[in-house]
Order: sequence, then structure tokens, then C-alpha cells
Amino acid sequence: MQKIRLLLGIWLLFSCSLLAQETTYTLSGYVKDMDNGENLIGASVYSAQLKVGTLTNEYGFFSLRLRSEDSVKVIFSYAGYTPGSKTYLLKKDLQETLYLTPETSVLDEVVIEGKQTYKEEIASTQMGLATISVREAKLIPALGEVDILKTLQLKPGVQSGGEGQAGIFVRGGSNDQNLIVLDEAVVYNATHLFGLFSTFNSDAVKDVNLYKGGFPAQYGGRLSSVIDVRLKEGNRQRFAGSGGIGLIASRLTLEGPIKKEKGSFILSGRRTYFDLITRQINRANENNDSDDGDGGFSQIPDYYFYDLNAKVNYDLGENDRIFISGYFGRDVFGFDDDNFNFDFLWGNVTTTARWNHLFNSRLFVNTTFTYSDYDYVIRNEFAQAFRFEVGSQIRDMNLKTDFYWLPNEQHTIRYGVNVVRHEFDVGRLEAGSDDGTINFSAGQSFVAEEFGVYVADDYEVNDKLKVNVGARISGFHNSGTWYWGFEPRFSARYSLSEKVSFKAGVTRMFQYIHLVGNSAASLPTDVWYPSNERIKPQSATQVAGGITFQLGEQWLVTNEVFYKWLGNQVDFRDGAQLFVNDNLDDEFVFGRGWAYGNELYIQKKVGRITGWIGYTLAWSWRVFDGTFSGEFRELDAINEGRKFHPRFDRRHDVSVVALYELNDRWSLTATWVYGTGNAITLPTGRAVVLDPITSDPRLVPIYEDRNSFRAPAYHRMDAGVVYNMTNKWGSSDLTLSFYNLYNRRNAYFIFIEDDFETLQSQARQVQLFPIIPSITYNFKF
Amino acid sequence: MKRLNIYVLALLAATTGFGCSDFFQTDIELDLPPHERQLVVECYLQPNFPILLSLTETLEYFGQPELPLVNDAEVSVSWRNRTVNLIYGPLVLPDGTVLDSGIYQPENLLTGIVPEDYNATFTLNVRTKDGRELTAETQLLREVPIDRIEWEFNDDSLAFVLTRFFDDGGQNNYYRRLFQVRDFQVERFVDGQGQVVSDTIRVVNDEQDFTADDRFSNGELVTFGTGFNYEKGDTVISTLYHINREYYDFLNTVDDAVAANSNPFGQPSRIISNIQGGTGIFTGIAVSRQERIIE
Repeated sequence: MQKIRLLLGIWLLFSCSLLAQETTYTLSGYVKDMDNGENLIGASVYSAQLKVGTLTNEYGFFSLRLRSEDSVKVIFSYAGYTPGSKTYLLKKDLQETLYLTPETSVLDEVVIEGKQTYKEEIASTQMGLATISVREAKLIPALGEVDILKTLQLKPGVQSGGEGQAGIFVRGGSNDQNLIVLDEAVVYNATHLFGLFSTFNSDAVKDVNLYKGGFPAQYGGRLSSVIDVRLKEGNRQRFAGSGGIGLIASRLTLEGPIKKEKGSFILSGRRTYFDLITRQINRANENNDSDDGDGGFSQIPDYYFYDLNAKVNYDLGENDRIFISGYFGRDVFGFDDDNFNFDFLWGNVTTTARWNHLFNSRLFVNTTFTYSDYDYVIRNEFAQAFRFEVGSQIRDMNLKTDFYWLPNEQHTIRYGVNVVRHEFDVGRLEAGSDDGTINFSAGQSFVAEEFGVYVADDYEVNDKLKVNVGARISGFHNSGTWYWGFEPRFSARYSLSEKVSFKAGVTRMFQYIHLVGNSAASLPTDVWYPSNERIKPQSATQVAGGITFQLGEQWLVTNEVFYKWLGNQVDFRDGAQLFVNDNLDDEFVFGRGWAYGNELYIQKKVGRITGWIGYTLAWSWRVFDGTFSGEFRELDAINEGRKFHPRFDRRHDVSVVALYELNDRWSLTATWVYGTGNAITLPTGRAVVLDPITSDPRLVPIYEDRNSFRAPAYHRMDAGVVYNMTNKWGSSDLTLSFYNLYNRRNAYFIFIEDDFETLQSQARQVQLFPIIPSITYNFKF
Repeated sequence: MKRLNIYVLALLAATTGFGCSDFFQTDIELDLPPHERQLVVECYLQPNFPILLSLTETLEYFGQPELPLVNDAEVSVSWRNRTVNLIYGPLVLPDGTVLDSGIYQPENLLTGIVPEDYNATFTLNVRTKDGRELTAETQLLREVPIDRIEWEFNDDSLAFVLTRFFDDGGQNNYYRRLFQVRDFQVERFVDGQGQVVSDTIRVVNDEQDFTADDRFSNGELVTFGTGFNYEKGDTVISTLYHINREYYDFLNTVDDAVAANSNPFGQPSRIISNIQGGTGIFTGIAVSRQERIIE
């Protein structure tokens, strides 16, 4: 630690000495939405005249050092808002709140002198960042319900797990290697309905950033990506509402000031109504039950999910603001008849309490406490005499402080610390009968602590070169076992001109908790499990390089190449018992992986037609040959120790997104995706197991090389039409969208159907979604 | 979990409608690589019963349909200093039909009986004419007796049946539980004169077949139950096989392999086998069985 402090001191001393001794003043404050007073994250504040600029941080705060001149024109802008400008004659430090007006349509777009369309993207040292505005997400055609995670899947380097799945696979990483945070609180299972929908209600979300690489030092704990979702804060100007009625779910959001210009609240809810339909189907078929053995109707279980988001914020004074937000979401799945009762509930709870304090115009601090909880419970009651309940849970309490310090116009320094307490209940089981003859319980509980301390400096060396140098030291403690990780973070940008820059970066990450699931899909029964003496932390080192340039006036082209090494990857031995097992340690196997690829991203954010084209060419590999295990047995090797592609390895991945704003009333949208088929395992042979105990021989598939086959290529086009209406009470729109417009039969999974009598077999493919039209009515007042 | 998967699929079916239209399933052609055939052996040693062994081969998935019997191997089972050679013997059915069963049996049935020697290690050796060799080892297990069978009726005069036994707390135990019902079935067949005739024959229907271990009930009274599926007069057979870890893993991975072929959530896995040089199982088993008429 002393060495690090010394290095930091030298770094600051060296870089500060380079500064010219001129009089400078600080312009600081917040950039907000004129209509509702919401802070704008990532808004640009810059002076073309002095060639200095900055972005608002994730709390909407900015601080900009300006040399004292007669007058300095400062331009502030944010995507989807009419840019603004103001001229200052600085004689002292100044704190201001700047307001921007939302563009109601691209037709309102104002071209402002000195504004360069893609300035921030070209100038930033940040690599591997994909951002999604909710406005964009709402326009993109969806499978019945606007889904932010699925919109992220349209960005290069980000892949879906399969047809309709909201799971995310980033640059060769697996689904559990994504850190998903909602207002800084970790969301452990971000999907509903076994992965078909994400937990984020688009009405409550302000914006989403996905980091695929170049991870800022404040983030840690996962290997492959950070998905940072920020909730809206609520309208500070007036009471307002919005909502929507769709085929799958309905939404309602209410927001308004607690005290005008001082604080606000937002309350948002969403609920599906599959259950209302399936109950009617069950009722209509109640006399045609398949239990009679006549192959009749099988009762459809009840299912629904809901989400609730709430947030309040209040300015305690000029320098202090507090925020409290919460999320509660639940999936409810049940089956009930006279003798058998089955309930399956799962969901997340998150709470965030945040305090922003401004020490002075150059030092901003945010202190946050978060609570996260994910649990599932399966309750089963039979004949009202036997019961069992099985479940798992993870709870986090996280305290963190982040400082944001601008010692001068060349440096933006962030440093902070966080401490997390993890509580795990794994495979909790209770079973009992009324007569007391059955009574047993099982399960494991763990408490672990995770730590992180970091510092990073975004340093503008000169007009051409900017570097972001930082490091994070992470630690983990569980049952007397300690792990420490040194995670350097470095990125650099070299500007060839105002419109062309080269970028490069290297990051290292550690992951101390692991998802226990052996399924190709993300299931609610997948549980989180801590590192311990036997299960070592996973690690990843990623290097990336790229070029970003503006093409003409409207296009931005980014190309990045990356290589990622994955250490101590976890998987599970063949035949692993993962569901209710008090000795899960023995089911893990350990290996390593690597991934590399190229991502091309061409975007157009201005004009009547906006959108992007993404193309990723990538390879991903895993090998489980026992190198990482101290107690390796031959059975622990996967694929007999040979390297194999993980299921989500995708050689080619293309996405095209186009949004066309025809006029104030009509918008047309379309997306097209293409991806190499998933790597899958198919049997190459079959054995006849005679099993004389039952006199019921079985044809058993023989699986050899893991994931050595490719499912057919996946491609699909979605399209939508949005009709905007203005009413006396507000505005509304009617959105008609078509999922899978050309009715492509994309493989959900492939199986082989056997006929034991003839020993004949036929391969079959299952498809989930044909062309699905959906209509949604959205309103806002 | 299997029941849960069924529910998930039912729900997906309900929400997407799959299963009710040709859109949702289509035949496809798969180009599988050549498969190198492996020997598959099954041999279950039960005290006081003759040693029987089946020997087959794995097949190419889309190869010619055939029962892949291997009937030209040298097979022996040894324990302590004794060796019993097994020879291939086709089964002769009561009607005189000779069935090429793939079963190997002792040369001398009287000397090929499994002894009640629970401490001996039994060794299997198989050598085929083309030079392939298999070996395996196992030990016998002691019977875990069924303590009692009970039933209880609901208001609809349907009963559920409970089978109870005591687990030995001194060791890790694995079980295979089989629950069957005797039934009658009308069979139609062609007689010697070419006439179609019907006959009612007694059959046994498997109602439950699963494995369990004693992780949650070590040394305790264990109860296996059924649904409310049985009426007064039904004949039920409850069988408890005491099995070893190797057979337990084999059965579970066979189930996993079969399930993965039809379950989108399944992870295909290899069959865990204690056979060196091939696949299958060579194991001791101990059986406890009770048959009752529900009254």
C-alpha cells in the first residue's frame, strides 16, 4: 500500500507540475431536464474556445476548470435534447444548474455553432461502452414488452443466450459474469419468466450503460461486463404520470415534486396477466383432465410477475442531496388441485440510500448504502399431509463511498472504497408430514465479506493524448479463507484529429462469487455460491485496442479488437447434483478460457433516420483439464480435458437497427439480427441399456465432444410503427410491432426422436416464436 | 426438478402456443460424424442368483436399425480364487422360439451362483474376438428390508401408499425404488392358423422408478410415498434395491443423458460407468420386495 501511495503522489506531483500557472476558476453544478428537473447523466459541458470540456457524472454533477478570460462561452448538450450555451465572465468559482429542453422529435433538432456531433465518443478514454437511452429502447420493436436488456443484445460484442432470452453474454464471458446494478444495488437475477423478460420496467429507468471492457475502477466483482441501470428521480416541476397497456403487461408510473425544486418522488409498477388467460383456459377444460389417462387436457399452471420501483430525492441544502430508491419484483408460479399444491416464487429486492455531498466545487462525494436480496422458494404440499419447502437466498449489504475530485483541468480523479457483506442460504430444505414420520431439513449458510478500494485518474496529458490510469484492490473473506486481487485499469486515447482517435486499454477483474447452474438457460433455481478454500476466485485479463472516427457529418465508426484470458473458470462435473446438496464443493470443476474478436460499430445519431450497424467476429474457448484443481479426478475433466467452445460462442453476430421519424406523428422502426448458431452437444451414438430390473430397455444417447455441433444460424427481423398523439391531457402513442416479421423458424433446441420398436431416429428442431404482432398503448400526462 | 421442468415447458407452451401447430417442430437433417462403437455391459450380482450378463455395442445414431448384440466374447467373473466362465446362451421361449438375447450365463448354472460373500471383490473380464477388453470390479451389498407398507384413503376412495424402511446410519447408502401395480391387459395376436385372437394377460406396470441417497435421512426411518392413485383390490409391489454409488451414478447419468435429448434446459452429460474399456455397469444389488392387495 505504501508503494502505491508513493506512486500516486509522484504521479500527481509530476502531472500538476506540468500545469501552466494561470488563473483558473471552477464552473460546477448539475445539468438537468427542463421539463422534469431530472439530472442528466453523461451530459457534455465544454468550451470550444478554450478546448476544455467534461461530462456530468452518474449523479448529474460536473466540474470544469476554466481559465479566466474576458468571456467564455460554454456549450452544454445531451443526446435527445436541444443543446444550450451560456457565456460566463468568471471572477470566482461558480456553481450553476443548467437546464436542457428535450427535443420532441428529431425534426426539432437545432444545430449549434461549435457543436461536434460525436465529440464525446471520440474524445473519451472510455472503451467498450454501449449506452441505451430509454427513448431508443421504447422505439425498438419488442416481443410484447419493451426490454432494456434485449435492446443491449443488439450492440456488438453482446449476445443473447438463445431465442427470446434476456440473458447477456459479453465478449466470450458467461451470463453470471455480468455485474448488473440498479441504482448501485446488485440485481442477482435480472430476468422474469425463466429468462424471457428482464426485470427492468422501462418507464422507471433513466438510462443504461454497459461496459464490455475498459472497466472504470469503481466497478469490480464480475469478469465480463457491468450493466449500470439508473432509475429516474421523479418530476421536480409538476405531478405527472405515464403508463402503457400491452398484450403481456400493463404499466403505470406516477411522479411529482415533494417540494418544488427541492425534491421529488417516483412510483412505478408493472404486472403481467398471463394468469388471467390461462385460468380461463383451465376453467373451460376442467372436465377434460388428462389425469384420467385419456391424453386429455393438462392444466396450465398459474403464472404472473410484477415489478415495483420507488424513489424519492431531496435537496438538504445547496451542497447535500439524498436519494432513497427501492425495487421489488416477484415471479409467482403455482399449481393447485385437490391433492397436490405447488408454489414457486422468486424475485429480487433492492434498496439504495445515497447521499451526495459537495465539499467544494472541485470535490464531490457520494456515499451509498445498498441492500440486495434474491431468493426463490418452492413449496409443495401433497394430500394436505406431506410438505416440503426448498429454497435459496443471497443477501448483500454494501457500503461505499466514491470521491470525485478535480485538482485542475487536466485531471479528474476518482477514488473510493466499498465493503460488502454477503449472506448465502444455499439449498435450504424442510420436509415434514403430519404424523411426524417424515421430518428432515438441510441447507448451508455462509457469510462472506468482499472489499474494494480504488483510485483512477483521467489525465489529459496534452491535446492529443489522454490516459485513464487506475487500480482496484479487491479482497474476499469466507470462513477464514482470504483472497486478494490487484486489478490494474488502464486506457488511453490518442487523437489524430478532432474526428479520429485511437484507443487502447487493459483491465483485470476478479469474481469471488459463482453461479451454480448446470443448465443452458438461466433458471431461477440457479444459486450463488461464495469462494472458499477449495473454490478459488475467477479472474480475467482483457486487452483491447481500437479506432473511433467520424465519417461525414452524421456517422460514427468504432472498431475494437479484444483478447481476454479467463482464469479459474467454474463448471460442474457430469452428473452433478446441484439441487439441494450440502456438499456442493465436490460438484465444481475448474478450468480456464480465452476469447478474442473484433467489433465494428457504425452509428448514426442525427437526422431523420438514426440507428446502428454492429458486426462482431469472435471466438471463445474453455478447457477443463484439471489444471486448477488440487483434488482432480479423471471424471472431473470436461470433454476429456480437450478445449471446447462454450454454448454461446458465436463466430458472426450482426445487428442492424433503424429508426425513421417520418414526421411528428409517425415513426417506423426495424431491426435485423443474424448470428452463427449456438455451439451445442448432440449425441453421436446410442446404447441400448437393457435394465432387467424393469424389463424396460432404454435407448441412451452417447455424448462425446462437448458443443461440437452448430445449431442453424439465427436471423430475425422485427418491425414497428409508432403513431404519436397529442391530447388535451398529455400525449400518447400507439405502437404496433411485429416480432420475427418474416416468420423465420429459428431453432430453440434440437433433439432426436427415437422409436424403440424400429430403432429408427429422426432429428427435430423446436422453434418458439413465429411472427408475433403486438400492440401497446402508451400514455403520458 | 423434473416436475418443475414439465411445468416450465407447459407454461412456455401456453405462452407461445408451441405444440399445437406445425410451426413449432420440424424435421431436420443432421450430419453426425462417424461413431466408434463401444462395448456396453450390464451385470447385476445378487446373492443366491446366477450370474447373468448382457453384452451389446453402441450404435451410430442414424445407422442401420439393429440390436447390437455381441455374442462371441470370452467372459468371466472372479472372486477370491474362483472364476466362473460365462457363455453366450440364447433364450428359448416356452413356445420354442429361440431369442438372440445377448445374455451370457454360467457354463454350469449350479456353480455360477453368486455367494453371500459381502467382503469379496468380484472382478469382471471380457475379451472380444476382435481384441477389445473390458474390466470392472464391485462388491455385494446387504439387503435393506422394507419395514412396512401402509395406505390411506381420501374422500374419493383413492389411496396413497407409503413404503417405510430404516436407513443404516453407519454408512452412505444409495437406493433404487420401484413401485409397480399388477394389472390385466388385453393382447391381440395371430395364432398358428393365422386368426387374430385376444387374450387377457397379467402385466406389471411400473408406477415409480427413481434413485435416492440418505443425505437427509441418514440412520432414520425413510418413507417413500405415492399419489392418490389406487383403489381397493389393487395389487401393489414395492421394491427397494440397495445399490452402490457406482450404480447410482450410472442410473442418474443415464437419466440425464436421456433427459438432455428432450429438455432444452438440460446439460448433456457422459454416462458415468465403472467399466474400464467400455460403458455399462457391473454391480452388486440387494433386493427387498413386498406385494400387497389394498384393502
